[in-house]
Amino acid sequence: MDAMDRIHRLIDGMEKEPPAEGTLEEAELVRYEKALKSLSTARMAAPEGFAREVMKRLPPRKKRSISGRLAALLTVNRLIPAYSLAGGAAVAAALIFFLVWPRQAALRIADANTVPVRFEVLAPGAGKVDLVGSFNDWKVGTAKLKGPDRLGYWTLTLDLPRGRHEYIFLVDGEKWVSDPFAAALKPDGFGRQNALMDL
Amino acid sequence: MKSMEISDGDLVTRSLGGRADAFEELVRRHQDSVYGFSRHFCQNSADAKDLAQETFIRAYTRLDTYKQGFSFRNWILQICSNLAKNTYRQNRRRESLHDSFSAVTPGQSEDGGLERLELTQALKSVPAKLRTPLLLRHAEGLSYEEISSIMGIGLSAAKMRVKRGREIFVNLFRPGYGG
Repeated sequence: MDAMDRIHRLIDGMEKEPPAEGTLEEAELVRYEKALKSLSTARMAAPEGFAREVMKRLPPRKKRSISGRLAALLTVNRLIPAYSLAGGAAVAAALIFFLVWPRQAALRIADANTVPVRFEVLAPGAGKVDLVGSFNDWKVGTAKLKGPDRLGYWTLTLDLPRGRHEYIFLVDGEKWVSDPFAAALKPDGFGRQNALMDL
Repeated sequence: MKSMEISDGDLVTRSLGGRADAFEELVRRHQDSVYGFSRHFCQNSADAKDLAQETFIRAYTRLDTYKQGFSFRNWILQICSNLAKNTYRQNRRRESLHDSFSAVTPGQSEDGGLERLELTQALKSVPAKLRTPLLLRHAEGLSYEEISSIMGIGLSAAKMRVKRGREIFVNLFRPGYGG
């Protein structure tokens, strides 16, 4: 193995024994390491607003089937990307989104008075999750979410009448979790924030 | 309750299911990697931003070809690398790198000062087929196995290209400019 091979192996961590001090080999290694380090330290973060700009430039997805398009008419699609937020029970509990389940929407499109709405809560450590709201007279236990699934989601699909609804989630019977990404929140007078939803 | 982060693979699945915000989350997760990687191929930040955005758009249109289990970051860097290579080929005739650089004095370097310009010059002088594995190894910190996978070359070829790229780059790079 020549001296350069040894330097490459040292850089890659495949060679453990460092070169002797004051040798040409040591000087060469230092020169390499300094130059290569500049490659990693010169990295720059994406400019502000980069993701938003990408999203604006995305082409439309391929045309949907007729049933898919019908379903889309009723779709309320509000994935809450809160899973990107740092940990903490409150944040985890806030990982909530709801949407119309397209398949069901397509099947039930004939019913113009109700809208199927799918509620989802990411609560992998929870034992139970209840949905309470104006549509079930705020009664705990009448709308239980099923879960958790493989990813930790609890879900429930309800047919709700058109109009305005308020709701909040109750995790493990003690933790009230409001939807931070709701179009609007409304104080309930007890220190909690109910989500408002217009269908 | 524990916080849980959805995997890149699950975000891909959700994105394919029509969830635009799942793809936006993928962009947010990998934008620094892709932009930083793009920056090494471009003369200025505007071009790098363009290349990085094109990379994500290309990824979006080909999301159904992403193989679950494969690193999304590596997959998108592979797309970026290919786009950079193609763009370079397309522009080669009308763009003379030397002319371009001669028009930029060190004082005009927009986002990294003198060191950045020297770094970019040195990198540009490394042949593309050696530059990419060099950057993947030393800017992105990937293993030889990952480089081999991204570039579709053998493991020994990946090692050889990194080695040759290092030698060219190190001998061209002038740390006296601040490196």
